[in-house]
Amino acid sequence: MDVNPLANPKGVKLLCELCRIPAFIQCKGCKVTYYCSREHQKADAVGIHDKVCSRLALLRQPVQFWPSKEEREKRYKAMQLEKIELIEMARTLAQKMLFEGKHEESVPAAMLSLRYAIDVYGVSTIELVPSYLIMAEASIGLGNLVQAEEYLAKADWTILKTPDCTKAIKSRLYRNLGLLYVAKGDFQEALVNFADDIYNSSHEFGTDDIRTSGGYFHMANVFFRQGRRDIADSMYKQVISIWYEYLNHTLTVNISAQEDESRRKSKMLNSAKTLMEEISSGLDEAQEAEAIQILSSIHNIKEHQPDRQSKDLAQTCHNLAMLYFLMGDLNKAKEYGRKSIVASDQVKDDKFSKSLVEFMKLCERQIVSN
Amino acid sequence: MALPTINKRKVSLTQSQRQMRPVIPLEPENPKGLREKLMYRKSVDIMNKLPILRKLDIDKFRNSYKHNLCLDMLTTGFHMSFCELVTLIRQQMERREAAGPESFLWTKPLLQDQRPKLDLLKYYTTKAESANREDNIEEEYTARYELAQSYTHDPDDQWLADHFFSTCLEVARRQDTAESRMLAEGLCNVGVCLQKNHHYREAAKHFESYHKLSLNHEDDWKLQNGVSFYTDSCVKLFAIYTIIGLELGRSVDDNDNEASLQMLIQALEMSKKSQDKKLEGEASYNLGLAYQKVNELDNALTHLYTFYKACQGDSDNEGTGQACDAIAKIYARQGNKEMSVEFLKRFVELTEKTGLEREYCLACYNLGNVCNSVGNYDEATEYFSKAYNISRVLEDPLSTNINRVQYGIAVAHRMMGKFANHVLIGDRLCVTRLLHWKSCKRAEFDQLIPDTDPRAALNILLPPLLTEKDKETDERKEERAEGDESASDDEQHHASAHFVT
Repeated sequence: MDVNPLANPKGVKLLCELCRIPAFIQCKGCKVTYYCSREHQKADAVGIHDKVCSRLALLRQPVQFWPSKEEREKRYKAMQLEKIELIEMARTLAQKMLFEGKHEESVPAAMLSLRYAIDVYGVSTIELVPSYLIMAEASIGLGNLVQAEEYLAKADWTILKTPDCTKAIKSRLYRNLGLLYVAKGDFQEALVNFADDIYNSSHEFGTDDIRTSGGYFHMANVFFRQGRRDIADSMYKQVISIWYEYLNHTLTVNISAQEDESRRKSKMLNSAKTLMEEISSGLDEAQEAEAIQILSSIHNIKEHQPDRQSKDLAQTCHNLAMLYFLMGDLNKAKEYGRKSIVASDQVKDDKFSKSLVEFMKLCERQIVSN
Repeated sequence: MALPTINKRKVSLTQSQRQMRPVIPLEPENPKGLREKLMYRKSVDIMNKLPILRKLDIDKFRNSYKHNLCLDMLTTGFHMSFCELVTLIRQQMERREAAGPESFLWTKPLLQDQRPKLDLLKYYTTKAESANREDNIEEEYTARYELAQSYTHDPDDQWLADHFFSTCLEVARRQDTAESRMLAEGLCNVGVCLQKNHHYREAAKHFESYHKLSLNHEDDWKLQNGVSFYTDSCVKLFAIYTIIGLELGRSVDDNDNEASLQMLIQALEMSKKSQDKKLEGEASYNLGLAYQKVNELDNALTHLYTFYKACQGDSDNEGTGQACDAIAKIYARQGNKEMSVEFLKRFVELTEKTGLEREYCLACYNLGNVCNSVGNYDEATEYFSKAYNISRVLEDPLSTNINRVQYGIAVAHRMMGKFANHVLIGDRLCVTRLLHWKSCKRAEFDQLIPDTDPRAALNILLPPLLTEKDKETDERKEERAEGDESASDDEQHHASAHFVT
């Protein structure tokens, strides 16, 4: 039997945000979140709470009474929207941490998203699946495979019961299943799952979309570990070229947009100075983290591969440089740009080297203007 | 930190335990007798013997054929082939969507539903990809080429053939050596595809590069049937230039006509290079007609004579006939009636000999026309009557009608001189004859009149010369007149009297 602290109003059980046992500590910011111990509070704060503290205070306040039915419905709807937004944010955050390799930190955010998803959509609905998948991925990262399997089984079952679910979700499920099998060491099964991931994602987004590239990357890793280098290399190459295409395109679009802007400004203000103020990669946080993860690990592999093709390495570096440039990290962009130039010395592709030189000039200009 | 479990029950099974755990069917609550116990044991045994289903086994039942095929490709590492397949399927879908559900395309079976085709695609693309990985360009090319070849038979699959031929060309272009047999072959194939899709200009460009490549290897590059690539390229270029030239020739613009001439001249050159007399003749004929169109009759004549000779050398009667006809037309336009008549006579003789009824009819008609315009009415009547009879035998209503009218006109022309004579003299005998003719349509003008006025012949009105161009309109007019019962004109009236007989 649980002991209900006297200080609480009767019938209200204060439970720990993370482990759901009676709680004794309250968050000072929002005053609506409780923890069983300091450790859990700290973990939650690092994971997500710092970012959603004020939002939670708003969401968890006692329901006010509104006299008219319309007003009540309006409030209710507004609340639902707020919750959905919170879910999305928590998921993106968790995903980002996963890509950064911070599995433990991602758990609170994933749990928050799951809890609110259940609140909004109900139990065993397709909308819960992304949260399950994130939890599963975190479990795999933490080495808790049985747990991961539980989550994935749940997600699998939900998807199976929802005939019209989108291929995007399916692809994510298969990617996580693949990761699970990789962790278990069952490479053949992992390959099948990654293949299904690529298949679904190709039909949803296209074969050379950046969202499909993740599947190729994981598959390439499996082939790499199986020792089938040629296949792995060819797949890495495809990943690189997908990203190259995307980043190059985004960069040129950004530059031309900026130039238009500056031309307009210079007409108005008569200042000839061109400045790139706003650059966006067009990716959300999680995707940026994924890009960094994928590209840097390919970079690592290629750097330590003695018989690599120098063009691949150069292109990987160029990709990373562009990515960092778009994210606003100019120093890193320059560093990778230089690496790329070094690597591209042996490449006889004028177009590529020209674009590299142009990119470096752009970097210089940006640094000067900052 | 422990993650919350989904079910409240603590999961304590380790991984290996989980995999080994046998599936146990529910035990009946109180087994009645030995029989039920045995049944239960048996079912447990069966369950344990069942294999653990892997994902692939389940997929076989759950997914479409295409899905499983793609999975198979990917798990074996052929991701490029997979991309290609998906792109092809998507292309087909898009084209179908664009055409709409009422179009012809909509009724065609989709690529993704045709299992043998998918299998074939997979076999060859994966073969090509593994060759690609080993940098074996030749093998990659062969795989793609064979695949493309397998699609050339069905016109519905032309787009697939196009795709694979163009990838063949890309593969061939990757080769280091600038001049390779593969490249030449690739260029030729893509050119043929473009030609089939009516992109003549681009096809011509491809053939030109093919020609250039094969120029240096006239002796060692041979097709399967022993023809050298060089000759083949000449023939292909001749065909494409001719097509472009004729197409340009159809437009009204003067510039286009000029360009058309240029194209046809190029076609002629190519046909000369191919050393095929027949092609050369054909090219000359086309060029001749084009010259005729822009009114350079002398040039036209030279080329047509070449064609004429080529056909005679080949003893190609049909071609010779065509040549005679064309030459005669040009002479007619130049006003050289004698030559025109001569060639037409040759045409008639030829067709008579060879028994080409339709051409014979046409030849007679043309000859009749020329004779008519020269004033040689007796011969004109003769030829028109031949043409009329033949067309009646052929049961071609259009030409029968035309020939009938022409025949009538020719007969009327023949009669006109004497008729006018009778009117001019106007004595009793003549008037009686005229009246007699008017009432019963039987001409007695051929009989001698005692004293003839030589001036009468001057009053004969010759019919206007028929040029090639307005012949059509004339014919139409005449046809209309044929139905006109109340033709007041004596000539016309007389002619119509002949139609009946």
